[in-house]
Amino acid sequence: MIKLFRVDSRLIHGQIVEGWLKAYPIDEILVIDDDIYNSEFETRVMRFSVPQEVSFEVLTIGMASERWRTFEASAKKILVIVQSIEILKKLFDTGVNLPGINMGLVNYTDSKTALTKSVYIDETEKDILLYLLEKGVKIFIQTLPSDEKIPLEKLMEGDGLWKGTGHKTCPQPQEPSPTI
Amino acid sequence: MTKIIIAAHGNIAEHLLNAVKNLTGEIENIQAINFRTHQSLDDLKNSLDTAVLVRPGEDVFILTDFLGGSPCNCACRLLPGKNMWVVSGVNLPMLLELITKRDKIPPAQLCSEIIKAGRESIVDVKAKFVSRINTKRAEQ
Repeated sequence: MIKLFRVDSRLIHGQIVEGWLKAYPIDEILVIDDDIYNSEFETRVMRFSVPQEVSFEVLTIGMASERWRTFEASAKKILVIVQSIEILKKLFDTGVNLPGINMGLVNYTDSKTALTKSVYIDETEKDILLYLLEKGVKIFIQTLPSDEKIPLEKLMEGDGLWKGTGHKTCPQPQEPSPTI
Repeated sequence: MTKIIIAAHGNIAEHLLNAVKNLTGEIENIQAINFRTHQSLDDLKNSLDTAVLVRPGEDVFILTDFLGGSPCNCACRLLPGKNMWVVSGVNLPMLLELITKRDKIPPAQLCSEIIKAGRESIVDVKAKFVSRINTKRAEQ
């Protein structure tokens, strides 16, 4: 069964290893990403960051779509991770029956609007999310298991504008540069 | 000279470097890379890629906060490079050991010694304190 389906720009990282894997009994992690699938090196680096007792596989969008029913029917508790809203849309378009979507981390860039302090979206991503919501896909924003699960539609005004949670830009824009 | 890079979540790297500078004074060839919540993996990769550009033959030690975190994962990507060492679980004693012993012993030995220094600094202080007092009493 698919226990959790997450969008996370960082894919497998501290929040997954220390947060989600400790809160949920997960047997297997599936990363759906054509680029990583095509790089043996990136796959190997990523495998290294997954705890040994958890099985791990990288799939292309096509492969994931083909095998989706077996994942749903599997006795294993599966965590699916994709790194972007764009991949989410591509999966949906291949006919994958998307379960509730956990939006964990979506990268900040200058042109994006903050939905929460971890999720930033641009116009294209906003259109995709509106499209998926309209198609009945349930989407929640929740970075860590201990965070409140916020339904995405709650962050929208009645006229379809995004309310966000008050962060108009990056929450720490005034801080010093990342390297010293 | 062996380059030291500290790469960690939040502002840990920057603050650890500041703390160690307070103990030792200015330090050469050392760099802190912060990785904050809103930053992308590409930001982190770029910072690391730039930081590891050293003169041929120079060693690089990357100290990261924990195994499985993004700073550590990104540092792993650089491991096929020559003269590259990555250690997770950085703490102040480990960093001090590295600053003191770099270029004085071979890098493989340096790597195991800083890990030892980091581990040995983790102590049940209460137990140690109590046992010392008890020893002192027994002597009297």
